[in-house]
Amino acid sequence: MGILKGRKALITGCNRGLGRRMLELFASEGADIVACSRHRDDDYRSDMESVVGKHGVRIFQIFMDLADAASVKEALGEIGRDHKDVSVLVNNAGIAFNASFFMTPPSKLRELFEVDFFAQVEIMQSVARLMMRQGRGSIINIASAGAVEGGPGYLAYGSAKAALIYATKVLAREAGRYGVRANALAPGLADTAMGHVKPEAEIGKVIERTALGRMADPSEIARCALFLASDASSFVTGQVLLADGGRQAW
Amino acid sequence: MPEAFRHESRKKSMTNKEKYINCFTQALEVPAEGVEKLEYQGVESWDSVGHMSLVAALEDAFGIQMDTDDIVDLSSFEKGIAIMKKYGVEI
Ligand SMILES: NC(=O)c1ccc[n+]([C@@H]2O[C@H](COP(=O)([O-])OP(=O)(O)OC[C@H]3O[C@@H](n4cnc5c(N)ncnc54)[C@H](OP(=O)(O)O)[C@@H]3O)[C@@H](O)[C@H]2O)c1
Repeated sequence: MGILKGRKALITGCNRGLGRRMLELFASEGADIVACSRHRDDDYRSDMESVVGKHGVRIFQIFMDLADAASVKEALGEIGRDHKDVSVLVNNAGIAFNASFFMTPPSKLRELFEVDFFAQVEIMQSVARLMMRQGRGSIINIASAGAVEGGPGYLAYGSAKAALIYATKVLAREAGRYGVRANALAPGLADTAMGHVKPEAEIGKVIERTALGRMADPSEIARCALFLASDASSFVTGQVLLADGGRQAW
Repeated sequence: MPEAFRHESRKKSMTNKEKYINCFTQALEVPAEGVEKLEYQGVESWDSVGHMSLVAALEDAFGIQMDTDDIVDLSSFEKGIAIMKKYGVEI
């Protein structure tokens, strides 16, 4: 259909999980991709080449480790230099951590905030400025349904993702007048490695609370990201799109 | 490009000082006289929005990319000269 034709989309965590699915979907809709991942290897390289071959778009590979401030800085320098025309950003890469409030060491709290919040804000600050100069752009921060509902066992992850939602709203307010939109996408359990981090019994309980009674297929989350990335959502900003299968529908 | 980010500081014949002054006069829409004394929020147009236009103007004029810390530190015309130096730009 090509609804992202002429767009350049930067996606973090492109090598697997939700990010990989978004990359494929966005490419199939005509977007050139600035594909960010933290590891260089031949499998990844040939995977990216296969997407190029299949969809006829360009893929620019950038490597950054969100846990390493110097690496983020270097990558942002490269993006600012070579990809001034980026008009979609998906802050997707992230890590999870599951432990009770009292069993969460400060070091873990810091690590989660470093990867799931501080690095994401830094990326937003840089990329939003590129977008403001173009007078357009859409930023999608992948939060989590858990950050909206709050719940035991997710002090570090939930707090970092809740902070990300807040930052999304602030950015939406400040960048809106330049034509830049910012939204959060909050998935419920999705069928990726991260979706299976919890013990099976825990997963069962979450599915029990989910109106649709199942996990999301990654493609279902990717389609929500596509909606927020494209002009189909041109008057939507500062929102949290809950794609949680009706977990919070009670 | 939005109006606020439009400027013409890339003219080759200008000195760095002229380009630098131009960034302020165009991004903040102020006259060149007195520009040396300008400070953040010292004139109405140098608010947070004007600040981002000024940063964009400087980045375009000198082909640099400013770090967030330097964007925050850019509190006056004078301070900006020291910051430009960090990016190898002598005003
Ligand atoms: N799956 C779910 O149930 C679910 C639910 C709600 C929200 N989410 C959110 O959705 C996003 C994607 O999750 P997913 O399910 O696709 O998870 P995933 O399968 O575990 O993939 C995580 C991605 O993030 C990357 N990443 C992790 N740490 C990184 C770092 N320090 N620097 C750079 N990249 C890093 C990983 O790269 P490596 O391969 O190098 O590790 C990988 O590409 C995350 O933000 C997650 O919090 C997921």
